[in-house]
Amino acid sequence: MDKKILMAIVVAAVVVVAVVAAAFILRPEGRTGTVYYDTSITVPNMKAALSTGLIDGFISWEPFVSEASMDDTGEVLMWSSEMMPNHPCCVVVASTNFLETEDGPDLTKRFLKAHMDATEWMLTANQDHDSAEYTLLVTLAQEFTLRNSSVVSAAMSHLEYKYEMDSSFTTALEEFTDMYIDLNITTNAAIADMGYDSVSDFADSYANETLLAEAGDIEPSSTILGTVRLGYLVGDIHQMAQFVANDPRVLDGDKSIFEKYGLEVAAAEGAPFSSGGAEMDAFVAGDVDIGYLGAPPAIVKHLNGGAKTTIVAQANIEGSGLVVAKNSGIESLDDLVNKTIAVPNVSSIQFLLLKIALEERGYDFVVKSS
Amino acid sequence: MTIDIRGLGKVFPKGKKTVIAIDGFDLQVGEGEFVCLLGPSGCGKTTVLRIVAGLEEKSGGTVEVHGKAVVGAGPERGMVFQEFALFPWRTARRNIEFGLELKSVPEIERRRISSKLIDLVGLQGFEDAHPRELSGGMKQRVGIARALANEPAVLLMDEPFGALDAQTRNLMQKELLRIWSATKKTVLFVTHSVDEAVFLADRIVVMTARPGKVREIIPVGLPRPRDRTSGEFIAVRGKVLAELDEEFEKARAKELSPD
Amino acid sequence: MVDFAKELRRYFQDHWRNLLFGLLSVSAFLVAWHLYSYYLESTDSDFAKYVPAPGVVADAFMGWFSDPDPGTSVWVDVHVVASLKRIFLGFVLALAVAIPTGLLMGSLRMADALGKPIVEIFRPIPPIAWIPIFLVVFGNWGAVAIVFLGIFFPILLNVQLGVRSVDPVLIDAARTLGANRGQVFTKVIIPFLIPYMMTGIKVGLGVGWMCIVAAEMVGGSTGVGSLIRISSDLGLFPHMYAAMVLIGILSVLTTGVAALFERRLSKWMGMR
Repeated sequence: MDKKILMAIVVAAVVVVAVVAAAFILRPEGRTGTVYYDTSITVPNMKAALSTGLIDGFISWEPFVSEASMDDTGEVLMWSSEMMPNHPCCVVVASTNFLETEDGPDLTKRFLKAHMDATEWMLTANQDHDSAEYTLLVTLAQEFTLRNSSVVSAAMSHLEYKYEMDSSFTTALEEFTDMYIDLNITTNAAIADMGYDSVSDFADSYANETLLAEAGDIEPSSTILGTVRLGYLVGDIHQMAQFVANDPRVLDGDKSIFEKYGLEVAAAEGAPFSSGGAEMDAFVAGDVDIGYLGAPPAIVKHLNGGAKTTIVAQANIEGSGLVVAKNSGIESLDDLVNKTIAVPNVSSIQFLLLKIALEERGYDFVVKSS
Repeated sequence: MTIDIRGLGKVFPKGKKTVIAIDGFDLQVGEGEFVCLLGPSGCGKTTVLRIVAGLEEKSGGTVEVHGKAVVGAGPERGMVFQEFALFPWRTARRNIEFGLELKSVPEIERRRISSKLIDLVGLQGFEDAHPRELSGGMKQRVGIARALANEPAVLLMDEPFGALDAQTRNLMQKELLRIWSATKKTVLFVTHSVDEAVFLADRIVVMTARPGKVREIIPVGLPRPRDRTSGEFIAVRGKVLAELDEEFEKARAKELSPD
Repeated sequence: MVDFAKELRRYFQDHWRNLLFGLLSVSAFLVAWHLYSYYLESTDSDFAKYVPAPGVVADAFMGWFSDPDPGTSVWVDVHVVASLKRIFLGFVLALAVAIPTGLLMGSLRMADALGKPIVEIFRPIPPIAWIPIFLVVFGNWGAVAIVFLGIFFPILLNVQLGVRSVDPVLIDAARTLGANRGQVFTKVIIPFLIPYMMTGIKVGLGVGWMCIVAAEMVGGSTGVGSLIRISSDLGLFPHMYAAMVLIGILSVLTTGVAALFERRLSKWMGMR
C-alpha cells in the first residue's frame, strides 16, 4: 500500500513536470516575421532594462528617448516622425459634462486661449536657443520632467508643440480608429453605440474645433472667473503647455498665463496620472474637467468605455522614438524579428505607431509570452 | 542478573535549587521475573524506568542490563507507554513492524513476525486499522506487540493500563499475564495501583517518597491466576498498603511544607 | 475512474440541498447585477460601460474559446499558462526554502533566535507591497518572486509549528524501538509534519494566487492579472470582468486540488 502510493506520487510528479516542460519548450515561438512586445516595464525603467539586456529595444515618449541615447545606453533606431510624419500625439480633452455646465464653455475657451499662448511661447523660444525665453523653457522642462537640461533640450528638438486641429489630424484619428478595429480592440458596433454613423463620422465629430476657433477672441481678465480641474501625465514633456501656462515666470510677473485669462487651475484628483487610460477613468469618475493625454486612450476609452469627452485641441505632434541597444546590430525594422521591444502599454500611441509600421512590412507584433 | 541497579541517583535543577529525585536506589531483577514498582506520586518510579530505558540520564550509581551498562535507548529494552505512543499514520501492523523496519528486516520476514505477534496479543482482524480506529485496550495490545517485535531482553511498562477503564484494565491485566507466560520476558512494571501490583507481580518494590529509594521489597508468592477475593490476596494487599500509606503521608507532608 | 464517478454521485446526493441554495444565491446575484447594469444604461450614467451586464461578460468569456483576446491579441491560454507557470515556480521555490528553514527553526533554538526577528519583520508586510521593487530588481522574475514571498511564510510557519508539536512521547517510543537520530527524523518527524505542511501549502496557494494577480496587474504583459489591467486600459470592460471570473475559476481549481490532495493524504496517513 505504502509503495503503491509512493509510486503514484512519483508518477504524478513526473507527469506534472513533463507537462510544464512541454509548455515551456513546445510553445511555438512564433513564425518568422514576428516581433514581440513587453508591457511589463514602466517607461522610466526601460533604459535600465535595455542596458541589462532584458529587452532588445523600447519605444516611448520623450524625454526618455533622448535620455537613453545620450548616455550611450542605446541609439535611436527610428523616430515616430519617421513612422508616421506629423502624427498627432497628445491632445487636450474636455469633459462634456463640464462643457454642459453654465460656465463650462467659457472657461474651456479661456483654457484654450492660455494653451495657445503657452504653445506659441514655446515655439518662439525653441527657435532661438540663445534667448532668455529658451533658457526659461529648458528650466521649466527640467522641473517638470526631472531630467537634466541637455536631455530636455534634445527631447524638445524631436517634437513639435502644436494646438491646431487640421485635416491631417482628423485623418490620423480615423487611421488610429481603423487600426483598433483591425485589432479587435474596438468594434463598429461600439462606434455605432456611441452615436456615430461611421469611423469617419466619429473622427470628424470627436474633435470639437469650434471652441478652439472661438478661443482666439478671448480677452484677459483681471479677476478669477472659475476653476478648472486639470489632468495630465507624469513628466510627459509633450504636455509642457500646461506647465508653462501655470508658471508666473513666463509672463515676467506675478501672474501665470492661466491667471491672466481669469482661470484658477488645480491638479485634478489623481493627477499626475501614470497613463492615459487612468486619466480617462478619472474623467468618467468626474474628477477631471480638462486634461492632457495621448490621442489613442482618448479614442479607446470614449468608444469602449463610453467616456463623455471631446477633443478640444492638440498639444503636440511626434516626439517618440524607438531605441535599441548600442552596437546591437539592429539597423532597421526588419532586424527586429524575434526581438522583444518594451512598450508603455497597449493603449499607447507608441504601441500603435510601431504596430502600424511593422504591419506595413508584414510582421506580426505580439505579446512576448514569457 | 537481568537488570542490575545499584546506588542509582537522579537530581533535577529547579530554578536555583536542585531537587534530589532519586537517592541510592538498589534493585536486582532476575531473568523472567515480573517486578512492579509501586510508590506515591513524585517518588520517581517512572524516572527509574526511563533511566533503565535510556530515555533519561542518571546522575549517579550504575545501571546494567545483562551485564552491559545502559547508555541511551535501544530495542533490547522495549517500552510500553501509558499514552500508547502509537504512530497515528501507521496501521497496527505497521506500528508493530516499526522496529523491524529500522533494522532493515526484509518485508516477508517482517510480515511473519508481526502476524505471529498479532495472534499472540489478540489483534486478529484489526491489524490494518489505524490507531484512531482502535479502542484503548486494542491500542495497548499494539504497543505491547510493537515492543515485543524486537525480541527485547526486558519489557519496561510505564502504567500501561492507566488510561483504560476498570473493565478493560482487568481484561488487559489477564491478557498481559498470558502474553508474559508465553514469551517469558523479564518485566519491570510501574504502577500506583496496589491491586494491580499484587495481581501481576512476582515481587513488589515499594518506593519511598522523594528522594526515592527502595523502602521495602515484598514478594507476592501466590500462584497464578490469582483470585482477588482470596484471603491470601487480601493479606498481601494489606501488607503493601501499610507500607505505602506511610509513604503517602510523607509525600503529602512534603507537598504542604515549603521545600 | 469509476470510483471517482461514484464519489461524485455520492457528493451530490449528500449535498444537494447546499448546492441548490448556492445556485439560488448565485442566480440572485446575477439578476441584481443585471438590473444594476440595466439601470445604469437606461439612465445614461457616465459609467454605464464600466458595469457591463452579466450576459455581455459571458459573451466575452466564451469569445476566448473561439478567438484570441482582443486586448492582447493572443489566445487566452497564453495568459493562463503564464500565470500557472509563475505560481508553480514560486510554489516550488517556496517549498524548497521554507521546509528546511522551518525544520531548522523549529528544532534548533539558535536557528529560531536567528530567524525569528527577520521573519517577524517581513511577515506582516503584504507581499503585494514589494511589487514595484521586485518588478524592477528581478525583472521578468518579479512576479515569481512575489508569489514566492506569499507562499513562503505560511509554509514556514506551519512547518515550524509542526516540528514543535511533535508529541515527545512518539520520539521516546521510536528511540526505545531502536531509532537513531536520523531515523527519528525521517520516520517520525517527517510523517508527523506532512499534515502541517499540507495546511501551509493550502494557505500558501491561496495567497500565491492573490500575489500573482496583483503583480501581473501592476506590471505584466501576460498572465491573467495583466488581462485585467490591459482590458481596463482599453476600455474592454466585459473582458476585464471575464478575466476576474477566469481568475476565480483558476483559483478554485488550484486550491481545490490542494485541498483534495490534503484530504487524501490525511486519510492515507490515518489522521482524519
